Amino acid sequence: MAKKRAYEDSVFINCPFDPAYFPLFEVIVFTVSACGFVPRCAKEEADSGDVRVEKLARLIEGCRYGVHDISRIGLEHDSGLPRFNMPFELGMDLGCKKFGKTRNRQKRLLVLDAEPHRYQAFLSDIAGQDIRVHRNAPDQVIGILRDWLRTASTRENIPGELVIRRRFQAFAQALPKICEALGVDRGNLNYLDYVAFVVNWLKAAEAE
Amino acid sequence: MKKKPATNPVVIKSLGKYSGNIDTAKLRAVIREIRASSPLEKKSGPLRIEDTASGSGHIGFAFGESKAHGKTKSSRKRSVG
Repeated sequence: MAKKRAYEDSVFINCPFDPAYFPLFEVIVFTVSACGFVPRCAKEEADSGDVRVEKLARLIEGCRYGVHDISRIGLEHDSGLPRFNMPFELGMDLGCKKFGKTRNRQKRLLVLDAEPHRYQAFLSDIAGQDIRVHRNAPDQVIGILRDWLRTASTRENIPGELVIRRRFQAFAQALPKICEALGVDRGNLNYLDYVAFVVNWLKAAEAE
Repeated sequence: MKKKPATNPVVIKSLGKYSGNIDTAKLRAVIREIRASSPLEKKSGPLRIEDTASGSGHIGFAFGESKAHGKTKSSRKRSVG
């Protein structure tokens, strides 16, 4: 029963892990938590000795919801090559939905991009999926994600966009202070600590 | 009088296997103290990148690695995501 609940609450986040994307990553993790779901991503486990694709498969199989941001299509500065990890993980999730266990057939996936219709030029096979445009705006991400979770889950206790936005702004202002008070290096936050801060902040907000 | 929320309270959930080294009781106390001492949830208007903790330069994540277009370069070589 607990496992089923964990599956129903889990949202797999597939997005770039680079400094330019950090602001949207913050917003995505916060919004998923604020809506009563559990954000899951590859950063929740150490990389040590695990075959990466196995870890991804485990995560994807264990999440009813998937949020895939495919907006990072530029060339890498160092290599001059594009990164395919995000489209690859989206493909894994679509494959899980199509060929996975019975429960996985009910998976719900959201695809995010920064510009409208751009995916048609580089990933036209995903036409027909739930694709939304955020224009790299935190506001847009909160609204899109909140509305999608509300619709996809049909849950009625999901807070409104403005509530989430206000809570996020307050949390973002307080986060450096939280890090300082706990002796955490705020330039090197790890994923699990960030999620713990978000969850405890939101629990305090809900309790007031 | 406390304003009634528009929706039923949402239950905030966690992964249930937090393996960090931060004492949860201390974290709760710190959050309570900061929430009590700061003006909270009052600001309105659009949320910009600069309003986020990382966008304002106040925090960074340990896994910040490669960046497309060469706008940002991390000291770490290995690239993920």
